[in-house]
Amino acid sequence: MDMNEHVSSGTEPDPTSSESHQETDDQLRGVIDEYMSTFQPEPEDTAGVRERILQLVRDDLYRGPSTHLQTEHGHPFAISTASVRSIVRNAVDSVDGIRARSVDVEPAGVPEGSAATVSLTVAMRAGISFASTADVIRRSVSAAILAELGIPAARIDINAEDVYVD
Amino acid sequence: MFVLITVAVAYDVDMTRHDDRFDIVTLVVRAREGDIDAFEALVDRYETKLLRFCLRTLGDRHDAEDVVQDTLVQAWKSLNALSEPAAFGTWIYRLASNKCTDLLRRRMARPSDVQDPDDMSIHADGRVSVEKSVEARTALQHFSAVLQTLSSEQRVTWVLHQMEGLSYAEVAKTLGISEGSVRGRIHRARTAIMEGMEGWT
Repeated sequence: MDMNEHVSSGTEPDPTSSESHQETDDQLRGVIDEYMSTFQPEPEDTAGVRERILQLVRDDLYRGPSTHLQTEHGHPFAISTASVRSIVRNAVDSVDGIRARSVDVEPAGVPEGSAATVSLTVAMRAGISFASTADVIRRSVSAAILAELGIPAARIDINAEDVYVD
Repeated sequence: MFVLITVAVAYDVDMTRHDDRFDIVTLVVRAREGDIDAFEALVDRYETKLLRFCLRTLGDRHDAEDVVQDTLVQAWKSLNALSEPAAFGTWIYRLASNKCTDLLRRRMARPSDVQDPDDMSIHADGRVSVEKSVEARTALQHFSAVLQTLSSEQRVTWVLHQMEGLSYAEVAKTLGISEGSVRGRIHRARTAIMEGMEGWT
């Protein structure tokens, strides 16, 4: 055995290496590309699936929890928690440079449900002054809750957890 | 009133083709609290990618659509189990990969569904099916049949890497296995494919 052969056997390439794989991939490139283009979904393929998914999700949402509140005259009512959160989210999103993330609305006041406490997490655009914007958020949320649910917001806690760049 | 600012860091904003107002974390947090618009944006962002992955893994349009539907509906119902919203992409691929693996296992467990590469062909619309005649066989038809002889784990791993372009590390993270396992599965898949395609390349 000459030295070259010995050295060669001692440095045999790893069959799982990327170089080894590249060689086999090159041999199959044509058929792999053909397979990939054959199994490439068209927009019309996804439309039907999308509708079925969203219908199932809507059905599930209708079975979701409710938030129990009271009118100013003491009459109890319940509204889906998802709807309550949506009211608050829309109010937060309407503030320039602020995006609502998590929203929690709990019944408060005496009797319970005659007011609400709100806890929010938001992402804010870089460069926004939080202190002044927090007041704008509170005013927007308070007005929305009063207008849509007929009750005041007893407390609104805001947690700015992220900053985004447009 | 109570105000708390916990984090103030910039992050990469991964915009969607439909609703580009919100980053992935915002969409996931809102969706898990019942915001159907946010979930719809997630569906728009991932549905086509998932369908492509499932089509290539399963080789059957109907099965692929079923898996994508099951995956996204399960995601909606179990979003609270996702502790890190930024990891939604990896998580959703893992759900889909597991469902593909299960379906492939079920196919292989049914003797009538175990297909011989010499008995396979693809319909004009891309659907693979068993046919007795192997006349007019193409390399594509034979390749599709060879893919079906791989184990379910090998096939899912190979498609994620070879066709979806994920690195070994990304495949490992997606499937929740070690990088060494990914490397081994892909090597065995490649070897089987090369052997199965002998004479066709």
